[in-house]
Formats: sequence, structure tokens, C-alpha cells
Amino acid sequence: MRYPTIDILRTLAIFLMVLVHFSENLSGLVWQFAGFGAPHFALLTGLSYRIWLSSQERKGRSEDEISKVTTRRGLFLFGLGLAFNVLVWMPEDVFNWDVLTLIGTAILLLNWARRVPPLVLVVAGLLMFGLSPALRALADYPAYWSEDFFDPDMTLSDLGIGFLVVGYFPLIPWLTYPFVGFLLGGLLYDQPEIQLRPWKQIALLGAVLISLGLSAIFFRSYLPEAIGNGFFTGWTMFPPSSEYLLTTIGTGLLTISLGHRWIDLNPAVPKDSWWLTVATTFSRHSLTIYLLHHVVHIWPLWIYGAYAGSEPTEFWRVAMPATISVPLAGLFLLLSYFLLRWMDRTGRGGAEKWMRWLCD
Amino acid sequence: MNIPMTNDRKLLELPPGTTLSEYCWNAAFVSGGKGLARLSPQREAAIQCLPAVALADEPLVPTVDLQLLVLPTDDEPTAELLSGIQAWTEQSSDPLERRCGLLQLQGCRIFWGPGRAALIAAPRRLDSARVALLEAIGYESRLRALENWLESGWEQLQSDLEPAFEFSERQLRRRTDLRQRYQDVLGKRAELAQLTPRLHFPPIYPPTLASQIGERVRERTRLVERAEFASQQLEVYERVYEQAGQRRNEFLLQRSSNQLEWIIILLLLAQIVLVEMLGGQGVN
Repeated sequence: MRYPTIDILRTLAIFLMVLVHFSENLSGLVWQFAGFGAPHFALLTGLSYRIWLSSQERKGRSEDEISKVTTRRGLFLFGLGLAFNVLVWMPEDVFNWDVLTLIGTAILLLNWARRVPPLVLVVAGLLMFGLSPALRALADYPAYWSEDFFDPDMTLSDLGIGFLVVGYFPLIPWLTYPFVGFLLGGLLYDQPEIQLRPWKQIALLGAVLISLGLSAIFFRSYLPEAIGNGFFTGWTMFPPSSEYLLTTIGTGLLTISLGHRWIDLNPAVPKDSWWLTVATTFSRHSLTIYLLHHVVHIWPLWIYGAYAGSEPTEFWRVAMPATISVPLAGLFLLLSYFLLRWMDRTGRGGAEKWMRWLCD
Repeated sequence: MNIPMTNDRKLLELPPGTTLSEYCWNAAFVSGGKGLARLSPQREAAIQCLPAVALADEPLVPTVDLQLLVLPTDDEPTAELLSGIQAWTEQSSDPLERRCGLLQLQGCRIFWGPGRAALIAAPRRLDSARVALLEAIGYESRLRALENWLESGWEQLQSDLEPAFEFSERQLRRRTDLRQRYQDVLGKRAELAQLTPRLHFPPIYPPTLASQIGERVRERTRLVERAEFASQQLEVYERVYEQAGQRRNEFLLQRSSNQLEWIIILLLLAQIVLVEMLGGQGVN
């Protein structure tokens, strides 16, 4: 079953991601709202997994079957993430721990998460949230980053620490998002009695988290020095600061719960409206779009750099002004919409179909 | 006797003093069946004629368990009257259910089906015969309801076999349903336990018309055997839901213990990290 809220939020995250990547990689322009796409993807991963899990259980699939499919999907995404790093970025970036490897690992761990009581996930999430600043300090986070890029040595310890704490999307604290999404799915979408779905409480919790995050940003200078320097370190996505985590998780909880109440459960919302068709189309092919938009704007950059410059990355972030890269992002979304519709019409699947063919 | 009016809707004239009463068992059974003999009808009305042909468009009153037609007559009833009464009694029957039963005893004629019954007897015998008939039909009706409940529950039982063997997080979401079903089964067991002693009522000597009606109806409807079968079936239900409840308790116990263990593991990991960090900074 498809829920419009999930489709809409995923589509918004896709639009944001494409816009941010085009303008950042082609023009070096970093938007203020750049950090909202990835957390929502990760959160929706947990949520979608919960919904998928319920549907599998309703179909009567055994625990073993569900475990196998989940593991295969997790490994597929993890492997795809590594291949993506090599093929789209550079071979030396294979272990930069991007979002696909995070989601692959998250799915593998959600296979564990579905068997443990929800309270364990709450405690795990809280610990990841609370300990990640300390872990980054322990790992010496700045030592792994040079000029705002993750640049580890190719040693086992560096790779492990990058995967866990200091990479682009390390497990700690990014796993908090899929865990929250998984718990949210259980509370909101898995409750058969619609009246008993705690959307108000979840929305309230989201609002509280957003308030906490924003308060920490605005009143940081009033905080004790130890907390201000060690725990609340300002709004940063790399590394994901406590304010960032609070605000993005809060936004996710708020939008999903309100969307579920006012869109999913609202019979007045037309299910065949054009905007819902757009949302469903992009949402169903989010993985394809993720891969495609990188290929479309990164590969030409590398090829042009290799021919016209001294090295492939020469034009990275300086290839064109934002006045061109931003419309290009819009053009890409428009063309990809028609491409995806054509794929749907002709039965040609994208990366999602490969995944299902291989894993299900 | 009335002249038939049309081919499809004839009216059958009934003897003077005929009454149609409507009974509801629930009130009587709440008091453990003791009130059956003294059960008063919810509604009672004198009736003069009856449609002789089964009318499909005449529905039974859903809140009424039994419609009893009592015909006081000292004369031998005509064949037309008897067949008309039988047709009226059978009308309430589901096509797949048992048809109308017929009993003739000491000049008394009794027709009974699942929702309707008719008693034709001399006026002096009517009261005792009615009480005996009501009691016997009441028990039969109660047992039939239980059998129907058991019959309709087999499919659900099949799907509840899994939690009786193995409980998981998935089944935990069904625990309210399982608890409700177990309570229902126990309720039915209690109902049967109340009903069974009344079905094993010993024959009265010297026999009276009332006692004989009770015995014969019990015998003809095989109440004792049916109660035994129902008891055996209930046992299967009980076993499944009892085991499911036990598995659920074991699972919950194990789950809370696992929960505690996982939390301790996570806290230990956190402690290791913090100690390591503080140690690295030279804090003891």
C-alpha cells in the first residue's frame, strides 16, 4: 500500500538533493537548507521498511524469508554504494561512506531491530545521539577531514572509524534516523485502529525536538562552555551536530505525523491528482534518480576536466555559475519525470527493479 | 375456516383461543437456566389465521429466539391444518439446517424448528405441555447457538495455531484478539457447563405428559450426544488458546529479559567509550 505522505516527503527530499548536488558540485553554491534531504531519506528508509515488513507478515512470509530478503537488499545497497563511489566519484573514494552504504547497513541492522523490543531501539538512538560528539572527539574527527572532505588513510582502522564515526554518513549517529523511522512506522502505520494512532503525540514530540534544536542554535552562546563546545557545536551536517539531529528528526516526525493525519487519512484528498502522480513517480524511483542525477552531472564534469583541464576534478564546483546549474537541476527533474513515466508505461524498471529481481 | 384468497397467499383458520407468543432465551439463561420454566413471553397475542403457504417475505423478528403457536383444541386437527402448521414452523428454518421436528404424544402434537414451534393440545394440557416444550427447545436452541459458534470459529482457530506453537514480535500485535478469543472460549465452556446437567435430567416416574415431552424432545434432538461433541470441540479450542496464552507469557518474559540485556550491553558500550575517552584525556 502506498501512502501519499511518504511519497510526497521522499519526492521533496529528491528535489532538494538534486538541487543541492547540482548547485554544489557544479557551482560550489551551498544552500542553507542543504542538510534536510539525507536525514529524510534515512528516516523514510526505516519507515518504509516497517511498512514493507508489515505487508510481508500479512502475506504470511516466514521470518527466515523476510530475513533473507532484508539481508540481500541491505547487501545489495551496500555493494551498490561502494560501486557508486568508485564509478561516479573516484576509485580512491571507494570507502568514503556515502548515503547508500549507510542505508544498506541500516537495512541490515533493521533486520536485527525488528526482533528486539522497541525500547532497545529508543535507548540505542539516544545513546547514538548522546555519544556521537564524544566519539568524534575520541576519534579526532578533524584529523580525517581536509578542506571539508573526508580523506582517510587506506588502513583498516581508518576505514572502520570512518564507517562508524567520522565518514560522510557514519553509522553513529546517522543510524538514529532509520531507527526513528522504524519506530514511527510501528506507532503510526502499524496500528490497525485509526483512532488509536498517536499522530498528535508524535507531532508534539517533533515540535519539541525542533524547538530544542533551534533553541540550541540561537542560545548556544548562553550555554556552559563544556556543553557549547562539546555537545552543541552549531548547525553542521558534516559532522551532524546535536542541533542538526534534533531539528531534522523533529521535522521528520512533525511532517510525517501531520501528513499522515491530513493527507493519508483524509478522504477529501484526491488520490489521482497530478501532484500525487508526480510524487508517486519520483518516490517509486528514488534510487534510480539518486544514481542517475549523479551520473548526469558528475561524469560530464570529470570527462570535461580530463580533456580540457589538467585533471578530472579541475572543474568540480567551479564549472559554471549557479544561475546555470540551478535551472539545469530543474531541467533534469523535468526530463527525468518524463523518463520515469515512460519507464513505468513500458515496464522498464530502474535500479529498484534490479534490486527486487536480485533480492526478493 | 377461511377460503383461500389467492394461490400464493392462503389463510388458514386457527381454532379459537390460539395464541402466538415470542420468547427470548437470554434473560432466562442469565440466571443459569432456572428461569426457563417460568419464562414469560416478550409478546403474546391472540391469532385467528395463519398463512398456509410458506412466505419468503415474512421475516423472523431478529431479537426473538422463538415464536410459539399454541392451538387449544379437543378435536382431531385436520390434515390441512397440520400441514399448514408444519409449513409455518419450517419457514424459519435455514435450508441447510434441520427441518421441522414432529412429535405426537397422548393426543398432543408438537412441531418444532430452530426459530418456531407449534403446540396443538387439549386446553387442559396446554400449560404443562408448553412449559415442558419451552424448556426442551430452550436447551436445544442454546446448544445449537454454541454449535454454530464452534462451527464458525474453525477457520479462525486455524490461523491461531501458529501462536500456540511459537510466539514472536509479530504475534504480539494480535495479543488483544487472542485474549478476547480465549475469554470467549471460557465463556462458552461455562455456558456448556451450566447446560449439561439439565440435559442429563433423569426420567421422572410416573411419567407425565410434560416429562415425556421433555425427554422425547431431548432424545429426538440428540441433545446429550451433541453436548458431548460440543464439549470435545471446545476442548480443542481451549487447548489452542491456552497454549497461545502460555507462549505469549513466556515470550513476554523472555522479551523483557532480552530488553534488559540489550540495554545493559548498550550502556556498557557507552561506558567503555566514555572511559576510553576520559582515559585518553588523562582523567582517572
